Amino acid sequence: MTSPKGRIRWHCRRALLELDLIFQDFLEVEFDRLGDEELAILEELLALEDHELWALVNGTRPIPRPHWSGMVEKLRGVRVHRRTRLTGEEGFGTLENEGEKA
Amino acid sequence: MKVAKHTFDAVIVGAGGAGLRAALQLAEAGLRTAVLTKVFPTRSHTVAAQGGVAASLGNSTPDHWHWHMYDTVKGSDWLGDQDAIEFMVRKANEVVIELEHYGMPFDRTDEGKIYQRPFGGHSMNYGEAPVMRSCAAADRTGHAMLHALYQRNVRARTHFFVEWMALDLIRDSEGHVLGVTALELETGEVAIFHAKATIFATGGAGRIYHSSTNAFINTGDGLGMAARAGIPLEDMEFWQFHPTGVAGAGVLITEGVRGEGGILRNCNGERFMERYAPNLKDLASRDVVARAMVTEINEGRGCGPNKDYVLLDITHLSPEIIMKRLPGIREIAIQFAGVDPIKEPIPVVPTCHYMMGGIPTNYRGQVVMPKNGDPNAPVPGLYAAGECACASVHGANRLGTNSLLDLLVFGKASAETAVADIKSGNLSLRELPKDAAEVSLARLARLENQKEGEPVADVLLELQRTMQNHAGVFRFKDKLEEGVQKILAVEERVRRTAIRDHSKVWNTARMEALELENLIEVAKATMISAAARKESRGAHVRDDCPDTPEFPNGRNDKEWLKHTLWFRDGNRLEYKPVNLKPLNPDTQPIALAKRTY
Repeated sequence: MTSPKGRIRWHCRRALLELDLIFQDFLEVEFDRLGDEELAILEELLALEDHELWALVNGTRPIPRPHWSGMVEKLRGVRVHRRTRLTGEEGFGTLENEGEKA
Repeated sequence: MKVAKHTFDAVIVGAGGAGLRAALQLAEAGLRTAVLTKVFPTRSHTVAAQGGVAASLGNSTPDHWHWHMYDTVKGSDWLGDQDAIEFMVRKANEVVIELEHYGMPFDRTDEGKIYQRPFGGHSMNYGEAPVMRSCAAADRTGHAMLHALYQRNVRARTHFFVEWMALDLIRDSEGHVLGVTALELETGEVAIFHAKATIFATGGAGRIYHSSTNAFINTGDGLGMAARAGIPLEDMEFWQFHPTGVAGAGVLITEGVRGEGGILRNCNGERFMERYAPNLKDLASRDVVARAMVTEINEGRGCGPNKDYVLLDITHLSPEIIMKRLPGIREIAIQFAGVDPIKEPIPVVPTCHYMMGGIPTNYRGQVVMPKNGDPNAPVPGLYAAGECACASVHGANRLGTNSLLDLLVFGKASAETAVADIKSGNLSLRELPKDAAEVSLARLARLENQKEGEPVADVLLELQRTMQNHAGVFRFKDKLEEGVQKILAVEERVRRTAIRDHSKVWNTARMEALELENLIEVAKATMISAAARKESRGAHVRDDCPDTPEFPNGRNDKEWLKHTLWFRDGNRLEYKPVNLKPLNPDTQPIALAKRTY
């Protein structure tokens, strides 16, 4: 049985900022569309250590279990750099969400 | 709402390096020890620490703890307390070797000793030459440390309360700390953790800045709880910025990239560091590089459509070198900047990295605050360690690899003090006030009943932008003063946030609203302390306090060689002296001098 979605959502809070950023977009774009089977796979991935999961997502480590491929692909598909753009309205470092305008 | 009660000898909030080290000391002393953590322990942000842990073992080059003390005092721009610094550097070998015995897989020399590598700011013979002082486990030092400590805690039967968020500190009418209230995510229930000793090890609060290398969990929960309970926050104007965070994301690009030949360029393609640091160029210290970058951006030489970042160029390096010596950098650039660094430079900005200030403690890990004329009177029953605490060993700026050392030494010391206080009978289980959970329940009820409030994410964004624009790397008088007004306006908005999800269990929206209530305390403390400190020192650099013969580097020891204490009540500021005396009367103090490298 799949855990409550809120629990899975909380488990997307990670130790590494890299993963937080990936999951921030993933939760916005993909999460609500996942079925029970996909949620169960996501939970398996979330149980991994952060460095291990990040290596799977950035492709430096091969995917050890074939049934994880689809979900890892979804995570890889999150293009954080297209979401955030600098606006510079008040000096450096101001960010604005410009959706897909990149 | 019914409030359950759990009773322990000690309760620790936070399960990163400091919390786990403290828990181990208490549990191995046979005390009933609870650790509350909002995420699973090995998902704490300590995992992200790569550099290593400093200790003058002298395995790879000659070394001495007094050289380490000198480097740390100088790094702190003389704002660090020399008793705490001496204590930390002299305990370093012991805590590192202990960790080795817990199974930490340190890198080794050919003879089998712990291998040590050089790190910025660490020197031999008082600044003469670089020293090899950092003990590391490849680039996974924090990760390996956390795992070793967690395993050891499991063996010691520490009680873990995982996915519990501490809400508020419980103090009685005499100011004694009696534990905390906490919310269990899985059930939505609030419980009281009643204890003789309470240790905060809640880590940093880097999420107050928009551009931050910190993970999302770093929301300063311990600082928020302390401030709400009337405990001041110390030296909050001092935040370390890392020069190279990916613009727009904050993800850290390690210094090693510049070590391997990476060059910073402005919009004209100019290697601008040649003008700011003719000798060291791109390898100058973090604060020098960060300020040079901001100057380029402020003077209109930034890159991109809004001219608000600079470029880190490694396109002249061979792809083999990039892949071999800078593993992971290419992936970060592709994922978060949308560029392949083999072909295109990476957009970077100085990014918030580490909080030097925090909950005031002494070198024994006791939380201290002014009382009856004593600026450092211990708060009975409360201890703090790690990034959330201000001992103060980092002063106005921290040296790399001293943060992991800090959490080991003071995690252990705070627990040792607590063990002694409990076993001597100094601390006992005091009677809980009847309204012990009232404050927390009222906060939850406010959120539950708030209609027509603002979304948490909108207010958080405004908080982060305000901090970034008004209290960033380079500070300006007018901007700081305007920033104080703006952050107080944000505070009003924090009080009116509303959440749409009112479910009881696994309500992440509620968690984020509660975290925002902690972040705002940290943000106010930072902005108000920074606006008040009219000098430049370490990481606090003001445009109106430049380098002059009277005030080298803009530092004014006559008026500002003192610690800031910010009190939430009325946003009041007090100051207390810096301890320039080492712990041991035989130890030579590190005399005031200009900080130059």
